[in-house]
Amino acid sequence: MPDAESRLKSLMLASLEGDARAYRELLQAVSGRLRIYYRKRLGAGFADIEDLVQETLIAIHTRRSSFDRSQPFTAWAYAMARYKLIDHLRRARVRAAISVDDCEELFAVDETEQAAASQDVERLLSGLPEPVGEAIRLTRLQGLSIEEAAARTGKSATATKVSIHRALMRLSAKRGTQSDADK
Amino acid sequence: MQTSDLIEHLAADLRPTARHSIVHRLAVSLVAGGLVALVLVLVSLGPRSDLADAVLSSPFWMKWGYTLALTAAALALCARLARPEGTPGILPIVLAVPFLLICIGALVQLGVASPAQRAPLWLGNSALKCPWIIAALSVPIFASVLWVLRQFAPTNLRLTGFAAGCLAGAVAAVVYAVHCNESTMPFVATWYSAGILIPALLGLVVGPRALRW
Repeated sequence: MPDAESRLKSLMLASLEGDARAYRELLQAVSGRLRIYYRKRLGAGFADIEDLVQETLIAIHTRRSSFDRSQPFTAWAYAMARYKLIDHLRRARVRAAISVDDCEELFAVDETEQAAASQDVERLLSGLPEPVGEAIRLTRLQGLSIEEAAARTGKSATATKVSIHRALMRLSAKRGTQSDADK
Repeated sequence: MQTSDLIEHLAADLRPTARHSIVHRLAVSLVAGGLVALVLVLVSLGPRSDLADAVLSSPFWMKWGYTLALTAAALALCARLARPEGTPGILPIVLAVPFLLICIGALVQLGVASPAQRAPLWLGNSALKCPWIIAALSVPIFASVLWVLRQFAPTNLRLTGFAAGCLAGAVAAVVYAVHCNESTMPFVATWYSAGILIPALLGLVVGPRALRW
């Protein structure tokens, strides 16, 4: 995954021309990202996550004419996801009478920092060999266990653990920080 | 439904998407709504009797200059806000510029006039009905703009509603100038602006409901 934005954007441009194959690939990639996005904000056990993912996919489909071909794709898709998230929380407030105004503010701030932080993380990870970067993404960002990540990448659990450990050491050395990668 | 099934379903439903920009589609809706408003003016109020001469006069172009500048700025703002990630940027300020300019012009015109002339300059002879007629004429335009915006993905619904109301009001004011024979800047700055503000405030109120998706 050298540059997610340019890959997704070229898929989107092809989709707008009617390329169903590119579109299927795009929606699959986006649904994975949406799942992570909602899981991070609502908690992994949250039952409505798949509903939200599907609702957002449908919105992307029916409102694809709001995509400006000269603008980035990910910002557009995440703005859709964020709107659906806030809408969901607003409806949940009606059900549970929780103030959502605070939540909106919280997410607005979170959004910007999150975006900047994940860009930083992506930049750091892109400096690593692909399998190691992937292993870190799976365990540290998507919250899989070492075993699950090992199963996905087809390596042994021990090898995965060691390579993650080494890579994190190298990353923290690269950033010049003293943060202990062990924790 | 499984998400993978949904993706298959959506991919099967995919049609090539027109390249028309958002601005283009909003402009089409303005022409459609504006023509309805124009027919309403011509049928119910009639064009001003001196229209042929008036279109060559500077007061007429003062009115059209003001309302067309507002139209352009509001159109740009609506197009920006129709995208989910669209932020208003400096466009609200751009929208305020024509208003500020005409206010300055109005103050100058009042300043150089003798005290006795000031009230007629400001009130003309249609001050009280002008805003309401513009607001009424904006209805078909507002409806067609909202209808188009609903097909896009605005996320700041209140501001988008306000911008859509401004746009509808500005186009309605352009159309109304075909009938209205007022020619002073104090009049236009006050009563035209008030007429445009009515749908704009309405948009601020109904935006979150009318544009929700």
